[in-house]
Amino acid sequence: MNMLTFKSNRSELRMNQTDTFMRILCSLCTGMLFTLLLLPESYARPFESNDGYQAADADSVIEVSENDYYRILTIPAPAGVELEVGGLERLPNGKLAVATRRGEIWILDNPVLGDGVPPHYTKFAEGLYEILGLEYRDGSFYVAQRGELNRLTDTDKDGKADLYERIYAWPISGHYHEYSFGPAFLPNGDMVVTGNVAFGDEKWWEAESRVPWRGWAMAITPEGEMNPIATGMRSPSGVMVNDRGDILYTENQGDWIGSGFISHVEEGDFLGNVAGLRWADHPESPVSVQKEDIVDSERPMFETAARVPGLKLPAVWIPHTLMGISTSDLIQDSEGFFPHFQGHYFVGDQGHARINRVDMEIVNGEYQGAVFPFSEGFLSGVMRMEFGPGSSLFVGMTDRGWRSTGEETHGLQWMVWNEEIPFEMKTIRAQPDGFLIEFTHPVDRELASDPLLYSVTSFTYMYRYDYGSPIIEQEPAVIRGLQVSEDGKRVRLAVDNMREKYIHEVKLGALLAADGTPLLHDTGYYTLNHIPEGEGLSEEEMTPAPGQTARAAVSGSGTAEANVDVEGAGTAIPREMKRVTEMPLAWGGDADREIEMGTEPGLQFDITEIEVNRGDRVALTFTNDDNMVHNFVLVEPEAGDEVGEAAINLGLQGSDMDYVPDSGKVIAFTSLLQPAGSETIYFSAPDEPGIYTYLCTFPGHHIAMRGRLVVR
Amino acid sequence: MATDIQIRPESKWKQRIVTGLVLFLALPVYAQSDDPSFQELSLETMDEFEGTTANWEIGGDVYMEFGRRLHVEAQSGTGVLINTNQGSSRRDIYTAWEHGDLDLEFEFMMASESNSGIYLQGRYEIQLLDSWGVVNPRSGDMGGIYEMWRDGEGYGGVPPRENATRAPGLWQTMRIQFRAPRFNDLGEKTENARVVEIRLNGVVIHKNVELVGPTRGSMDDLEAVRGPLRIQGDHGPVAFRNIRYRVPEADEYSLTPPENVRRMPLIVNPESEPKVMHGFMRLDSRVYPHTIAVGYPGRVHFAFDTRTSALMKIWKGDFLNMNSMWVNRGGGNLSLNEPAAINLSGAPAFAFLSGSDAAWPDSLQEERTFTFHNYRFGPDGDVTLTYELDSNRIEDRFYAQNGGRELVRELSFERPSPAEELTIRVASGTSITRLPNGLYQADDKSFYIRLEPDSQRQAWIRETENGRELLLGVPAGEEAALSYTYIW
Repeated sequence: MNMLTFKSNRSELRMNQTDTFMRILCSLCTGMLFTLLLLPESYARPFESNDGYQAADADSVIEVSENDYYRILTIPAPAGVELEVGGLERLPNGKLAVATRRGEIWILDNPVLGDGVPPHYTKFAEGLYEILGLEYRDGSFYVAQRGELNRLTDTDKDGKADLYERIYAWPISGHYHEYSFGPAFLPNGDMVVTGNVAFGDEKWWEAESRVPWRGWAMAITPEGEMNPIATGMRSPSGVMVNDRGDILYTENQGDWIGSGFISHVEEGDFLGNVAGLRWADHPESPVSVQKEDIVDSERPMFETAARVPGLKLPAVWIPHTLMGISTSDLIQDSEGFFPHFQGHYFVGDQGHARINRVDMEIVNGEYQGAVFPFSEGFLSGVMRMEFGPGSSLFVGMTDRGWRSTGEETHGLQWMVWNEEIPFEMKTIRAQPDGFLIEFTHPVDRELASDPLLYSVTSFTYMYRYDYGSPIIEQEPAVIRGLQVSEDGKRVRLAVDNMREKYIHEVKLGALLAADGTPLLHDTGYYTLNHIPEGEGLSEEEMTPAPGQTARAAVSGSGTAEANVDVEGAGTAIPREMKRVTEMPLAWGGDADREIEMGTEPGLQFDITEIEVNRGDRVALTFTNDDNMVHNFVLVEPEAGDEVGEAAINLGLQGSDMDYVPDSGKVIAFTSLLQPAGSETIYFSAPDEPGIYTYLCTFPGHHIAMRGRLVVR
Repeated sequence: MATDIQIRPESKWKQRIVTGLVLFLALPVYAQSDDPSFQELSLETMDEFEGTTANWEIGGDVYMEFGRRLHVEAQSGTGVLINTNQGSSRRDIYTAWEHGDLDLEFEFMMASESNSGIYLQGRYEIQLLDSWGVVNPRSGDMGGIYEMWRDGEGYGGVPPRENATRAPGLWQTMRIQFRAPRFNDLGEKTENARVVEIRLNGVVIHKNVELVGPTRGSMDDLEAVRGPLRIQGDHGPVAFRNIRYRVPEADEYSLTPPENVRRMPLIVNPESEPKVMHGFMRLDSRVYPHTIAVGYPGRVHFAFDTRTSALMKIWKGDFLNMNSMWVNRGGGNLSLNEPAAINLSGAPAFAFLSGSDAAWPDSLQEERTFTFHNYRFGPDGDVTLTYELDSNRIEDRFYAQNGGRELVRELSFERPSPAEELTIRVASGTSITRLPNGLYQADDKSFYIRLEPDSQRQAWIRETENGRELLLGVPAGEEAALSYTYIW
């Protein structure tokens, strides 16, 4: 029935999760049983479905991965050509134009690797300063480089640009972070360019708009007239115009930006970061918000927005570390290259070398919607995407200056869909009383009818001067009941505690499609800017949940995975014993070894190997000299990957747990240290000689940032 | 100390005079190094040298006509040591002192097609030659370590890494860091002499090259702890000034492994076609964020500020090092070997002067608009910039000429009629003069400008607070053309 019948760790994790789920359920004991007795037959589903899983576990488990649907091929480049991709454009003749951070434009003949033959490369242009956008129109290329927007044309028809025209040059101070992105063409032919801020001298991350229109979006006519349209941008590395002619952009976490997001940009908007407000009172500025309107609050952004009407809230938050760490490109599948996701957006992430999918709707005149995982495992940080022939996507990568997961620093890949539609949450739509989840295939009705399959948790971020934000105000949203549609492709959830303006994590248990295919991804994050008007589900229409008591007890199940021990782990040593920050009295004031550990730029510890004797009393001081957050986690031999991945799976709990999972494989750890932070921990070296691993488990770091503790 | 400079016994009295003179001399204008540990070799008199032939004299200045073979004219005064190439006997000149390890810097001028050399310790020759424009320099070219001699054949010479020679008749600079050979108690050589580093016009042309033995023409067949500095005088006119030297610490030139190794430079050079590179560029501690650097396959280059029309720098050799722009987060400046560049100006090249005494503006004049339109790669290896200053449309074409020896600039103007008086500043500097052959020299003979026929009658030189300026008035009329050539 299903060709996908092999076993993997992933499925076992899934089963563990279910086991935990069951443990929680059982622990609810009598009260719950009492409730169940009063409920219609269908409420007994959790137990029955559990039986079903066990049967599967005993034999073969159906497991799916992205590789079952999408094949990723690496497009080779000639020696000496560094495809640090800043722009991609597919040309009408099928060639692919690739712009690089080194300022070149390469034209690739046969980018689709026909007959297994690499493309042929021609250098069309060079010498531009950090190209971060590329469009082709009427025989010319349009690119933004750091300081200007250019049109490049091959007038003598030899395949290389010989005419480099300046359309418009904007002021720039010469700071490294003043990257410029675009252009994106508006329906009237004007072009939108966005500009990064510079950073301050006080704090390396403090946004500064040193010259006019840094941190702004500009609209530029083909004749070179510029109008500033909106500000509040910090690192707007993706800018696009969608099928409605609206401008959307992506933002990266930083000061005043609690997490990455996508926002809809309209003239006069202030989008969050205060630096660009420096120019808000200029005569050309359409922005009415002034710098003094914004105060450092550590409260949610929407509270400021309620007071300052010009502050635009994000359309879709992309939760930091849960869905990536550095939002990059944004493209829309308006033509249905992937028919099951037509109209959706793909959003790149540099640090996590992945692509997310976003589907938006307009409620009360404003964009909102959900972000889902789409594909991960690219060679390097995803910077740019472009639809290819058929159902495919060219993916351009660079992580220079930041490091990403993935084994390369840059490159070009081609992701091809095999036309088998994965079982996915296709969309989540806000309802007056909850959410409507639409699936790509009909669901297994029995499984889907179980309210306990669904968990919804809402949260938001601080709007503050400091870099980024922890998750705040996290609360469960209680499922009251649900309704599965006739065709089995939609499930409507009735939810209590829907919180307008909050991000709602919608997480599904082990749901199967009607044909038995497991879900490819089980989580979406819906940004609920508005709760739509209308009728809710009536009691008659819905399958009610088995009582509030039960629901409250498992309300944390959205993060249940985080609490699950990784495979083979014991839990003998309590967590607090693994992070001892004062020297144990028993040591008598002396450590056998004192180790000073620091960091090097580019996700590295400054010491990559330490030798200790078994049982040594070790005082280790970890000082974070880097400009990103890091921790130090010592784990059992060969357990680096496992603990690193478990840290990523901590989900919403990650930041509270310093991204250190509760795992028996963790021996000792420091808290998550901010830049310039330092912490000393005390631990005894293992009694068993061997090569132990230490690593930083902050999502995105664990593969690169490692060292070896050799116990003699 | 073994490596000390030692005065020859009969010359000790000179040391005292020299020291006194150094104390009273103002720092030379063209000092290459501000290091106070350097002392100047006095060119007030010939006293620092052993007696020699009449071809050597002290003068106040010197003129060697560009393109005129072995031409030299000495002017009276002091401060310049000149080999006039006169007299029936033309010999080399030796310092009255001897040196071991030595850090030496000087300025020099070669007559067209002339030949000279610096013999370290009187034995190891660093060639001085008019090698202007030679594409693949040999060991006998400018800056080469001259070959040794055995059985009637030369061997073991070391060509410079690249040819950094400037045109004859211009002042050039050289810095030589030399480590003397070492000997044991038996007088046996234990370590070869070594060129630690030689820079010619700011370009490193040798680094840590061992001198296996005396080169051809050595004063003797020996190698020794010390020997005099010697300048070749028998092959044509040459002049020197601002000769400064320093005795390195005893172990300063020892080879020790460094703490860190720098990143490999990421050199970009034009190959078959010119390159235009956008970036930030630094000049006199200011950053110009909209600069383009334009490089030609003949290894001659310039930088232009696209916000104001400033022609900022011209240089030869390697085009750019992209290390600070193409690594990590980027954002660095267009980097070049600064000492190899001639810094022209960060001020606009064009201005509307209110009167002949009006100061040249250092930024775009108020109420004037400058719009940079485009640049275009022409079919003949040329690059043309098009821009507009108010309603004056200017096409500014640059190309390399004469094997990369010269950079030609051709300007054409479309102007409204009647037009305001528009002026170009071709050069500014401490000294600009028109030479007898019609060329202009700028910045005390740092480079030449040749005004082409369309420009010759439009030029004038004026005195300013900071020196002089060479200006061209754009001819009246709806269309005009001006052109001139930078030669260095």
